[in-house]
Amino acid sequence: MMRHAPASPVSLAALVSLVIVSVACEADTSAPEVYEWPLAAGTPVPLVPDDNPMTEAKVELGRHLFYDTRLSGNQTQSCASCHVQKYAFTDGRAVAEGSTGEHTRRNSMSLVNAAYSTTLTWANPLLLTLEQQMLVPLFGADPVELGLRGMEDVLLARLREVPRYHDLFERAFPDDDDPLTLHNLTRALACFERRLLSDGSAFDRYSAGDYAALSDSALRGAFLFGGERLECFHCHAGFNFQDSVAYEGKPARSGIFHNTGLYNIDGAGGYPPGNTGLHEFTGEAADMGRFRVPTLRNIAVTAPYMHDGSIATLSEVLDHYAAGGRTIAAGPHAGVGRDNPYKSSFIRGFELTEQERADVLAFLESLTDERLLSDPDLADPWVEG
Amino acid sequence: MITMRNSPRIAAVALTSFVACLVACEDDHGGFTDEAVEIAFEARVGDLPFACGESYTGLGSDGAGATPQDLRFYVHDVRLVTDDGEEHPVDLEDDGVYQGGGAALLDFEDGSGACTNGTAQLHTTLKGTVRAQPRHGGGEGGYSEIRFRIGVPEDQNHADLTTLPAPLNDTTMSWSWNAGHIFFAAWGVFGGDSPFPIGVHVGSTGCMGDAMLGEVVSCSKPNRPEIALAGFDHDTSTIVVDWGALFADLGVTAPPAACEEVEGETSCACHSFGPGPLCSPLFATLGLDWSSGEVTAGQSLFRVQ
Repeated sequence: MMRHAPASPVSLAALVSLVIVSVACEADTSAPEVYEWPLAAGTPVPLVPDDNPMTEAKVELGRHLFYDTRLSGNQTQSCASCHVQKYAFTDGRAVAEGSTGEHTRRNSMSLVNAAYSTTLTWANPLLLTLEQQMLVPLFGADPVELGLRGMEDVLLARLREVPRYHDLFERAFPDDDDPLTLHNLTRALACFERRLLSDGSAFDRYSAGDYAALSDSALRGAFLFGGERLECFHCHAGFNFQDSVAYEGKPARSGIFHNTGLYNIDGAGGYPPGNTGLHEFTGEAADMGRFRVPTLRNIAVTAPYMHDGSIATLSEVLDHYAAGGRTIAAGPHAGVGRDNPYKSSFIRGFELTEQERADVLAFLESLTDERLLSDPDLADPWVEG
Repeated sequence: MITMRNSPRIAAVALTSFVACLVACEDDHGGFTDEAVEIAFEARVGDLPFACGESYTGLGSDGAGATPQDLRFYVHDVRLVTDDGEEHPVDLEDDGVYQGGGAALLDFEDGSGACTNGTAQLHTTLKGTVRAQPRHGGGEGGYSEIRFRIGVPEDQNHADLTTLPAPLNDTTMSWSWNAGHIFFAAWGVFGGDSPFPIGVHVGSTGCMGDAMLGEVVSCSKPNRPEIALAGFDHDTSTIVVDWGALFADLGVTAPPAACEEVEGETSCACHSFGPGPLCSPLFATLGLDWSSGEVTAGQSLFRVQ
């Protein structure tokens, strides 16, 4: 058959397979897929739970689930309703609106580079894996987000009616007799979320040696950002501009949370009820108003800002930090955040000239990854045909 | 599936009994044998039967009216206690729906009326086997008391919901944001023409660690009430859980001061973290000190009928 074509790719492939088989197959007949992370050289590789290794098939199933409105009780919303690609997987709102019209208390976080985050959501110290975190929007009732509480069987029945899912689940979980389960659904969604990676901004290109990628203004802004006068980099640290990250070679540690003096109701450090941050989980007074640092990647497209979306623009965020904490003059949240007793010691205030302000903003804008915002591999697969 | 789950347990029970007998069985466990038991619960509001859709009066410290919105809770660590004070564990049978994983979900709401978060099905009787061999030592006489804990066992509470057996995988009793289960849910709609809900979700708080990463989760306030009811005969007694008694120490004609305004609606929800003025009197009826997390002796929700 192939004997007369000894140099053909097929026979070469067969030979390679044979060698691999003879070396590796005694232990395992199905060597696990080696997932190729879409990362530039030098970008850290995310950690992945042992029981949910990355595969292309799971990512693809997860993408279909992510954009599927069958994943809400009344079939009006999908994960993508509050995590929109062009806004770096946020929703442009101060707080999110769930499938039944209820509002969440906090601003939709960007899913970009969530794979690196040691804790998930704004303040929860308990949600350390995406597999577990997604149960909140899927099944939570206070507030209702996707509104699937008690509807697991309905959800799986809906998915079973879609021929494409039979294929996708089988490919993603080839060893399962009945792969269409809630367990596998959460695993596939987590794989897709871990695939939402950003390391292609102008700042990244500059760092890789393309010195034309940053304007002079953005470069000055980068130095201001990384300097001791503004102190930004202490919390927005490292390649993901976030202090609590983990990746291969850097094991996860406990989450880190900070009070930035955004509120100081009644002068005793209080934050608005229901939005007290880490305090909500620990009950410790000193944890009042402590929230997780979000990544600054793509920050220019994720307005409005802060855990409750209470600041509209990046320039106003700089005002808050320049003041060493926000002052609210009147209303139920009135108070001088600068004097919050639980405030991080890095929030000390600073003065910026107009040029310096423009420079810092130019730097923050240079963290936008245009490729990510339009990457067809991350887009809605249901609109293709 | 059920058979497969049960078999090892029965075998283990038999083996344990056998080994125990070699050591201590000359007195034949004081006449005890492994015995199938059914422990019946009944929900009431004072002396009236509890039913979704019904309205009740005379509730709270100020005699208000309300209609139920929910009444469900997990139990585990069930024990029958002899006259001598020996605890004989009850192994709950796995039924694949309401009992499994060492716990049972007792469900008294039928989804009607204001009970819109629930389902039509009920589960009001625990089924299991009481062990001949008591937890410690041995004794004689009959069973005269029942003890059980409300909640989900700690080693199951924080595991991945998608891998847990029923009833621990019920998303309506999942507390996903707190990475655990709602142990006890009881709610009502008060206020007549200006309705507002009052209710409690009891669960562990102050928890640290992630079970999904193989870490041990420990909680500074486990919040698993221990209920002990004397005068209980498992052949003839029924355990009454009084939904109305939950609100006994709370003024409920108008929304209590600790209630929150959310998007124009008043909600009086104690999700275990607080607010204290709401949680404290509700927790106290379960025999829990809300501020310290200690189990106390003063529960007032359960009685033997």
